[in-house]
Amino acid sequence: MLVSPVSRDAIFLAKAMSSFIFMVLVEAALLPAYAVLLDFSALSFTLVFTIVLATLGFALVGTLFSAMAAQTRSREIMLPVLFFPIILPVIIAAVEASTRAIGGETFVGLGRWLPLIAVFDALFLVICPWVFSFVVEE
Amino acid sequence: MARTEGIEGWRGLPLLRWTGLVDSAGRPSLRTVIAAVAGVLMLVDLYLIFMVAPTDSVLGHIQRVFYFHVPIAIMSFLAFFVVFVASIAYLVKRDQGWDNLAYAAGEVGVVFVTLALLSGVIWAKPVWNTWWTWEPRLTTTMILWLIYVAYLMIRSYAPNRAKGAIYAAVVGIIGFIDVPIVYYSVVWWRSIHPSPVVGPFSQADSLNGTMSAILLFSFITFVLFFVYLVLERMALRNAEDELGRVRFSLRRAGR
Repeated sequence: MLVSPVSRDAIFLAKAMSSFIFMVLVEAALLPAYAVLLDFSALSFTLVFTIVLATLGFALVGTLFSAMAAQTRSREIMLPVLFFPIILPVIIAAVEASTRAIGGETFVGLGRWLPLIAVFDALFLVICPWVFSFVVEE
Repeated sequence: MARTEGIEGWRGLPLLRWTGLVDSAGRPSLRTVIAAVAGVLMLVDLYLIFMVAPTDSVLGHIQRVFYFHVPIAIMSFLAFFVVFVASIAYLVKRDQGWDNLAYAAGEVGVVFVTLALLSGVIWAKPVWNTWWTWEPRLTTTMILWLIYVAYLMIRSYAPNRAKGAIYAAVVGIIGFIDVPIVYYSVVWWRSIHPSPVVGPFSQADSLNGTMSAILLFSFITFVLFFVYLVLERMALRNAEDELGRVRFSLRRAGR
Protein backbone atom coordinates (compact mmCIF):
# COMPACT_ATOMS: atom_id res chain seq x y z
CA MET A 1 0.00 0.00 0.00
CA LEU A 2 2.93 2.31 0.75
CA VAL A 3 4.18 2.19 -2.86
CA SER A 4 0.88 3.54 -4.21
CA PRO A 5 1.18 7.16 -5.40
CA VAL A 6 -0.99 8.76 -2.71
CA SER A 7 0.06 10.77 0.31
CA ARG A 8 0.66 9.05 3.64
CA ASP A 9 -2.07 11.18 5.22
CA ALA A 10 -4.61 9.71 2.80
CA ILE A 11 -3.48 6.16 3.64
CA PHE A 12 -3.76 6.86 7.34
CA LEU A 13 -7.20 8.46 7.09
CA ALA A 14 -8.43 5.62 4.87
CA LYS A 15 -7.23 3.02 7.38
CA ALA A 16 -8.73 4.95 10.29
CA MET A 17 -12.05 5.52 8.50
CA SER A 18 -12.41 1.85 7.56
CA SER A 19 -11.91 0.73 11.17
CA PHE A 20 -14.19 3.55 12.31
CA ILE A 21 -16.99 2.43 9.98
CA PHE A 22 -16.49 -1.19 11.00
CA MET A 23 -16.71 -0.31 14.71
CA VAL A 24 -19.79 1.84 14.16
CA LEU A 25 -21.51 -1.05 12.34
CA VAL A 26 -20.73 -3.41 15.24
CA GLU A 27 -22.02 -0.81 17.70
CA ALA A 28 -25.18 -0.32 15.63
CA ALA A 29 -25.84 -4.04 16.01
CA LEU A 30 -24.91 -4.20 19.71
CA LEU A 31 -26.66 -1.07 20.94
CA PRO A 32 -30.27 -2.28 20.33
CA ALA A 33 -29.36 -5.65 21.83
CA TYR A 34 -28.02 -4.07 25.01
CA ALA A 35 -30.92 -1.63 25.09
CA VAL A 36 -33.34 -4.57 25.20
CA LEU A 37 -31.31 -6.63 27.67
CA LEU A 38 -30.51 -3.80 30.09
CA ASP A 39 -33.78 -1.94 29.52
CA PHE A 40 -32.79 1.58 28.46
CA SER A 41 -33.69 3.73 25.48
CA ALA A 42 -31.06 3.53 22.72
CA LEU A 43 -32.88 6.17 20.68
CA SER A 44 -31.24 9.07 22.47
CA PHE A 45 -29.34 11.48 20.27
CA THR A 46 -26.87 12.37 23.06
CA LEU A 47 -25.96 8.70 23.58
CA VAL A 48 -25.41 8.04 19.86
CA PHE A 49 -23.38 11.25 19.54
CA THR A 50 -21.16 10.27 22.49
CA ILE A 51 -20.60 6.80 21.04
CA VAL A 52 -19.66 8.12 17.59
CA LEU A 53 -17.24 10.72 19.00
CA ALA A 54 -15.50 8.21 21.27
CA THR A 55 -15.29 5.64 18.45
CA LEU A 56 -13.61 8.22 16.21
CA GLY A 57 -10.85 8.89 18.74
CA PHE A 58 -10.46 5.16 19.37
CA ALA A 59 -10.09 4.43 15.63
CA LEU A 60 -7.56 7.24 15.04
CA VAL A 61 -5.19 6.33 17.88
CA GLY A 62 -5.72 2.61 17.33
CA THR A 63 -4.69 2.86 13.68
CA LEU A 64 -1.54 4.80 14.51
CA PHE A 65 -0.38 2.51 17.29
CA SER A 66 -1.23 -0.72 15.50
CA ALA A 67 0.96 0.44 12.58
CA MET A 68 3.72 1.06 15.11
CA ALA A 69 3.23 -2.05 17.26
CA ALA A 70 3.08 -4.32 14.18
CA GLN A 71 6.79 -3.65 13.60
CA THR A 72 7.94 -4.16 17.20
CA ARG A 73 8.96 -7.36 18.92
CA SER A 74 6.22 -9.02 21.03
CA ARG A 75 3.56 -6.86 19.39
CA GLU A 76 0.72 -8.51 21.36
CA ILE A 77 2.14 -6.88 24.50
CA MET A 78 3.26 -3.58 22.97
CA LEU A 79 -0.08 -2.58 21.44
CA PRO A 80 -2.11 -2.52 24.69
CA VAL A 81 0.83 -1.03 26.64
CA LEU A 82 0.94 1.91 24.20
CA PHE A 83 -2.70 2.20 23.32
CA PHE A 84 -4.40 1.78 26.70
CA PRO A 85 -2.95 4.76 28.62
CA ILE A 86 -3.27 7.16 25.68
CA ILE A 87 -6.91 6.34 25.02
CA LEU A 88 -7.88 6.03 28.69
CA PRO A 89 -8.97 9.69 29.11
CA VAL A 90 -11.32 9.27 26.12
CA ILE A 91 -12.75 6.06 27.58
CA ILE A 92 -13.29 7.62 31.02
CA ALA A 93 -14.98 10.65 29.43
CA ALA A 94 -17.13 8.40 27.21
CA VAL A 95 -18.22 6.27 30.19
CA GLU A 96 -19.17 9.37 32.20
CA ALA A 97 -20.99 11.01 29.27
CA SER A 98 -22.91 7.89 28.24
CA THR A 99 -23.92 7.20 31.86
CA ARG A 100 -25.54 10.63 31.94
CA ALA A 101 -27.00 10.23 28.43
CA ILE A 102 -28.67 6.94 29.42
CA GLY A 103 -29.99 8.69 32.51
CA GLY A 104 -31.87 11.02 30.16
CA GLU A 105 -29.71 14.13 30.46
CA THR A 106 -29.53 16.68 27.62
CA PHE A 107 -26.29 17.99 26.08
CA VAL A 108 -25.97 20.55 28.86
CA GLY A 109 -26.28 17.78 31.44
CA LEU A 110 -23.29 15.94 30.00
CA GLY A 111 -21.08 18.71 31.33
CA ARG A 112 -17.45 18.85 30.24
CA TRP A 113 -17.22 15.21 29.22
CA LEU A 114 -18.47 15.59 25.66
CA PRO A 115 -16.28 18.64 24.84
CA LEU A 116 -13.34 16.72 26.33
CA ILE A 117 -13.85 13.84 23.89
CA ALA A 118 -14.26 16.36 21.05
CA VAL A 119 -10.97 18.09 21.98
CA PHE A 120 -9.15 14.75 22.03
CA ASP A 121 -10.64 13.80 18.65
CA ALA A 122 -9.58 17.13 17.13
CA LEU A 123 -6.00 16.77 18.46
CA PHE A 124 -5.75 13.17 17.27
CA LEU A 125 -7.11 14.18 13.84
CA VAL A 126 -4.32 16.73 13.49
CA ILE A 127 -1.40 14.87 15.07
CA CYS A 128 -1.95 11.23 14.06
CA PRO A 129 -1.79 11.67 10.23
CA TRP A 130 1.33 13.83 10.64
CA VAL A 131 3.27 11.32 12.77
CA PHE A 132 1.97 8.34 10.78
CA SER A 133 4.16 9.37 7.81
CA PHE A 134 7.23 9.03 10.07
CA VAL A 135 6.12 5.66 11.45
CA VAL A 136 5.75 3.96 8.06
CA GLU A 137 8.77 5.46 6.32
CA GLU A 138 11.61 3.10 5.42
CA MET B 1 62.14 18.95 38.69
CA ALA B 2 59.78 21.90 38.43
CA ARG B 3 56.58 21.55 40.34
CA THR B 4 53.53 22.11 38.14
CA GLU B 5 51.10 24.73 39.34
CA GLY B 6 47.46 24.06 40.24
CA ILE B 7 45.44 21.17 38.88
CA GLU B 8 47.46 20.85 35.62
CA GLY B 9 49.94 18.23 36.84
CA TRP B 10 47.48 16.19 38.91
CA ARG B 11 47.40 12.49 37.95
CA GLY B 12 43.62 12.21 38.21
CA LEU B 13 43.03 14.94 35.63
CA PRO B 14 42.64 12.67 32.54
CA LEU B 15 40.00 10.68 34.42
CA LEU B 16 38.13 13.87 35.35
CA ARG B 17 38.29 15.01 31.73
CA TRP B 18 37.01 11.66 30.52
CA THR B 19 34.01 11.81 32.85
CA GLY B 20 33.29 15.30 31.57
CA LEU B 21 33.48 16.84 35.05
CA VAL B 22 36.17 19.25 33.83
CA ASP B 23 36.79 20.52 30.29
CA SER B 24 40.07 20.14 28.38
CA ALA B 25 41.56 23.23 30.04
CA GLY B 26 40.94 21.78 33.51
CA ARG B 27 38.10 24.14 34.37
CA PRO B 28 34.90 22.69 35.82
CA SER B 29 32.27 22.07 33.11
CA LEU B 30 28.79 23.60 33.16
CA ARG B 31 27.42 20.29 34.42
CA THR B 32 29.78 20.30 37.40
CA VAL B 33 28.85 23.87 38.29
CA ILE B 34 25.12 23.12 38.11
CA ALA B 35 25.61 19.96 40.20
CA ALA B 36 27.53 21.88 42.88
CA VAL B 37 25.00 24.74 43.02
CA ALA B 38 22.04 22.32 43.05
CA GLY B 39 23.70 20.32 45.85
CA VAL B 40 24.22 23.38 48.05
CA LEU B 41 20.71 24.70 47.33
CA MET B 42 19.23 21.29 48.16
CA LEU B 43 20.88 21.34 51.62
CA VAL B 44 19.62 24.89 52.24
CA ASP B 45 16.19 23.82 50.97
CA LEU B 46 16.07 20.90 53.42
CA TYR B 47 17.01 23.24 56.27
CA LEU B 48 14.33 25.75 55.23
CA ILE B 49 11.64 23.08 54.91
CA PHE B 50 12.28 21.31 58.21
CA MET B 51 13.61 24.15 60.40
CA VAL B 52 12.31 27.47 59.10
CA ALA B 53 8.92 26.75 57.51
CA PRO B 54 6.03 27.32 59.92
CA THR B 55 4.02 24.27 60.94
CA ASP B 56 0.63 24.25 59.23
CA SER B 57 -2.19 25.12 61.62
CA VAL B 58 -4.58 22.50 60.22
CA LEU B 59 -2.44 19.72 58.72
CA GLY B 60 0.57 19.85 61.08
CA HIS B 61 4.02 18.59 60.12
CA ILE B 62 2.79 16.45 57.22
CA GLN B 63 2.18 19.67 55.29
CA ARG B 64 5.99 19.87 54.80
CA VAL B 65 5.72 17.07 52.20
CA PHE B 66 4.08 19.69 50.02
CA TYR B 67 7.40 21.59 49.52
CA PHE B 68 8.74 18.46 47.77
CA HIS B 69 5.53 17.24 46.20
CA VAL B 70 4.58 20.38 44.26
CA PRO B 71 8.00 21.17 42.71
CA ILE B 72 8.53 17.49 41.82
CA ALA B 73 5.11 17.27 40.13
CA ILE B 74 5.70 20.49 38.18
CA MET B 75 9.20 19.27 37.19
CA SER B 76 7.66 16.09 35.76
CA PHE B 77 5.34 18.27 33.62
CA LEU B 78 8.40 20.27 32.56
CA ALA B 79 10.24 17.04 31.70
CA PHE B 80 7.38 15.85 29.51
CA PHE B 81 7.22 19.24 27.83
CA VAL B 82 10.93 18.89 27.03
CA VAL B 83 10.22 15.39 25.66
CA PHE B 84 7.41 16.85 23.52
CA VAL B 85 9.52 19.67 22.05
CA ALA B 86 12.62 17.48 21.55
CA SER B 87 10.48 14.77 19.89
CA ILE B 88 9.04 17.24 17.36
CA ALA B 89 12.54 18.63 16.71
CA TYR B 90 13.89 15.10 16.22
CA LEU B 91 11.15 14.14 13.73
CA VAL B 92 11.75 17.32 11.73
CA LYS B 93 15.55 17.61 11.89
CA ARG B 94 16.68 13.99 12.56
CA ASP B 95 19.48 15.21 14.79
CA GLN B 96 20.65 12.55 17.27
CA GLY B 97 21.15 15.26 19.91
CA TRP B 98 17.40 15.94 20.06
CA ASP B 99 16.70 12.25 20.55
CA ASN B 100 19.25 12.10 23.38
CA LEU B 101 17.59 15.09 25.03
CA ALA B 102 14.13 13.53 24.68
CA TYR B 103 15.34 10.22 26.09
CA ALA B 104 17.12 11.83 29.06
CA ALA B 105 14.15 14.07 29.87
CA GLY B 106 11.77 11.12 29.51
CA GLU B 107 13.71 9.00 31.99
CA VAL B 108 14.05 11.82 34.51
CA GLY B 109 10.35 12.63 34.02
CA VAL B 110 9.31 9.07 34.86
CA VAL B 111 11.41 9.18 38.03
CA PHE B 112 9.87 12.54 39.00
CA VAL B 113 6.28 11.51 38.35
CA THR B 114 6.91 8.34 40.39
CA LEU B 115 8.25 10.49 43.23
CA ALA B 116 5.25 12.83 42.92
CA LEU B 117 2.89 9.85 43.25
CA LEU B 118 4.85 8.44 46.21
CA SER B 119 5.07 11.75 48.07
CA GLY B 120 1.35 12.23 47.40
CA VAL B 121 0.62 8.81 48.87
CA ILE B 122 2.63 9.67 52.00
CA TRP B 123 0.67 12.92 52.34
CA ALA B 124 -2.71 11.29 51.65
CA LYS B 125 -2.51 8.65 54.40
CA PRO B 126 -2.72 11.04 57.40
CA VAL B 127 -4.78 13.75 55.67
CA TRP B 128 -7.36 11.74 53.71
CA ASN B 129 -6.99 8.63 55.89
CA THR B 130 -6.32 6.49 52.81
CA TRP B 131 -3.21 5.72 50.75
CA TRP B 132 -4.94 5.96 47.40
CA THR B 133 -8.30 7.02 46.04
CA TRP B 134 -9.59 7.01 42.46
CA GLU B 135 -9.93 10.75 42.26
CA PRO B 136 -9.40 12.73 38.98
CA ARG B 137 -5.94 14.14 39.80
CA LEU B 138 -4.58 10.83 41.04
CA THR B 139 -6.11 8.85 38.19
CA THR B 140 -4.80 11.17 35.48
CA THR B 141 -1.33 11.21 37.08
CA MET B 142 -1.38 7.41 37.12
CA ILE B 143 -2.26 7.46 33.38
CA LEU B 144 0.63 9.88 32.79
CA TRP B 145 2.97 7.44 34.54
CA LEU B 146 1.74 4.59 32.32
CA ILE B 147 2.19 6.65 29.13
CA TYR B 148 5.81 7.53 29.85
CA VAL B 149 6.70 4.03 31.02
CA ALA B 150 5.41 2.91 27.60
CA TYR B 151 7.54 5.71 26.11
CA LEU B 152 10.66 4.14 27.65
CA MET B 153 9.58 0.60 26.72
CA ILE B 154 8.93 1.27 23.01
CA ARG B 155 12.61 2.01 22.38
CA SER B 156 13.82 -1.37 23.53
CA TYR B 157 11.05 -3.22 21.66
CA ALA B 158 11.62 -1.49 18.31
CA PRO B 159 13.33 -3.46 15.48
CA ASN B 160 16.35 -1.14 15.48
CA ARG B 161 17.61 1.98 17.19
CA ALA B 162 16.55 4.50 14.53
CA LYS B 163 13.00 3.09 14.47
CA GLY B 164 12.95 3.11 18.27
CA ALA B 165 13.80 6.81 18.30
CA ILE B 166 11.00 7.61 15.83
CA TYR B 167 8.41 5.48 17.65
CA ALA B 168 9.40 7.02 20.97
CA ALA B 169 9.06 10.51 19.46
CA VAL B 170 5.53 9.62 18.30
CA VAL B 171 4.57 8.42 21.79
CA GLY B 172 6.22 11.51 23.29
CA ILE B 173 4.09 13.81 21.12
CA ILE B 174 0.76 12.00 21.50
CA GLY B 175 1.35 11.37 25.21
CA PHE B 176 1.85 15.06 25.96
CA ILE B 177 -1.86 15.70 25.23
CA ASP B 178 -2.53 14.19 28.64
CA VAL B 179 -0.33 16.61 30.59
CA PRO B 180 -2.63 19.68 30.45
CA ILE B 181 -5.53 17.41 31.44
CA VAL B 182 -3.65 16.34 34.56
CA TYR B 183 -3.07 19.96 35.50
CA TYR B 184 -6.64 21.09 34.81
CA SER B 185 -8.24 17.96 36.32
CA VAL B 186 -8.32 19.68 39.71
CA VAL B 187 -9.92 22.79 38.26
CA TRP B 188 -12.45 21.01 36.03
CA TRP B 189 -13.61 18.38 38.49
CA ARG B 190 -13.71 19.84 41.98
CA SER B 191 -12.64 17.05 44.27
CA ILE B 192 -10.60 16.36 47.39
CA HIS B 193 -7.17 17.10 45.89
CA PRO B 194 -6.08 20.67 46.82
CA SER B 195 -6.22 23.30 44.08
CA PRO B 196 -3.06 24.26 42.20
CA VAL B 197 -0.81 26.70 44.07
CA VAL B 198 1.08 27.76 40.94
CA GLY B 199 -0.13 28.58 37.46
CA PRO B 200 -3.13 30.38 36.00
CA PHE B 201 -5.75 28.82 38.29
CA SER B 202 -3.84 29.09 41.56
CA GLN B 203 -5.40 30.37 44.73
CA ALA B 204 -3.26 33.24 45.92
CA ASP B 205 -4.37 33.24 49.55
CA SER B 206 -3.78 29.55 50.34
CA LEU B 207 -0.20 30.13 51.58
CA ASN B 208 1.34 32.75 53.86
CA GLY B 209 4.44 34.78 52.94
CA THR B 210 7.13 32.50 54.43
CA MET B 211 5.50 29.41 52.96
CA SER B 212 5.33 30.76 49.41
CA ALA B 213 8.92 32.08 49.67
CA ILE B 214 10.17 28.62 50.70
CA LEU B 215 8.08 26.99 47.95
CA LEU B 216 9.69 29.35 45.43
CA PHE B 217 13.15 28.45 46.75
CA SER B 218 12.25 24.78 46.50
CA PHE B 219 11.20 25.33 42.89
CA ILE B 220 14.52 26.93 41.95
CA THR B 221 16.38 24.08 43.66
CA PHE B 222 14.42 21.41 41.82
CA VAL B 223 14.74 23.17 38.44
CA LEU B 224 18.55 23.13 38.83
CA PHE B 225 18.46 19.54 40.08
CA PHE B 226 16.33 18.58 37.07
CA VAL B 227 18.67 20.32 34.60
CA TYR B 228 21.65 18.57 36.19
CA LEU B 229 19.99 15.12 35.99
CA VAL B 230 19.10 15.61 32.31
CA LEU B 231 22.64 16.79 31.44
CA GLU B 232 24.17 13.88 33.36
CA ARG B 233 21.88 11.36 31.63
CA MET B 234 22.72 12.84 28.21
CA ALA B 235 26.44 12.60 28.93
CA LEU B 236 25.96 9.00 30.08
CA ARG B 237 24.11 8.17 26.87
CA ASN B 238 26.88 9.72 24.79
CA ALA B 239 29.38 7.57 26.71
CA GLU B 240 27.24 4.48 26.03
CA ASP B 241 27.19 5.30 22.31
CA GLU B 242 30.95 5.79 22.28
CA LEU B 243 31.45 2.47 24.06
CA GLY B 244 29.18 0.79 21.51
CA ARG B 245 31.25 2.22 18.65
CA VAL B 246 34.52 1.08 20.23
CA ARG B 247 33.12 -2.40 20.79
CA PHE B 248 31.86 -2.52 17.20
CA SER B 249 35.19 -1.54 15.67
CA LEU B 250 37.04 -4.00 17.95
CA ARG B 251 34.75 -6.80 16.81
CA ARG B 252 35.37 -5.88 13.18
CA ALA B 253 39.11 -5.97 13.82
CA GLY B 254 38.59 -9.57 14.97
CA ARG B 255 39.57 -9.27 18.61
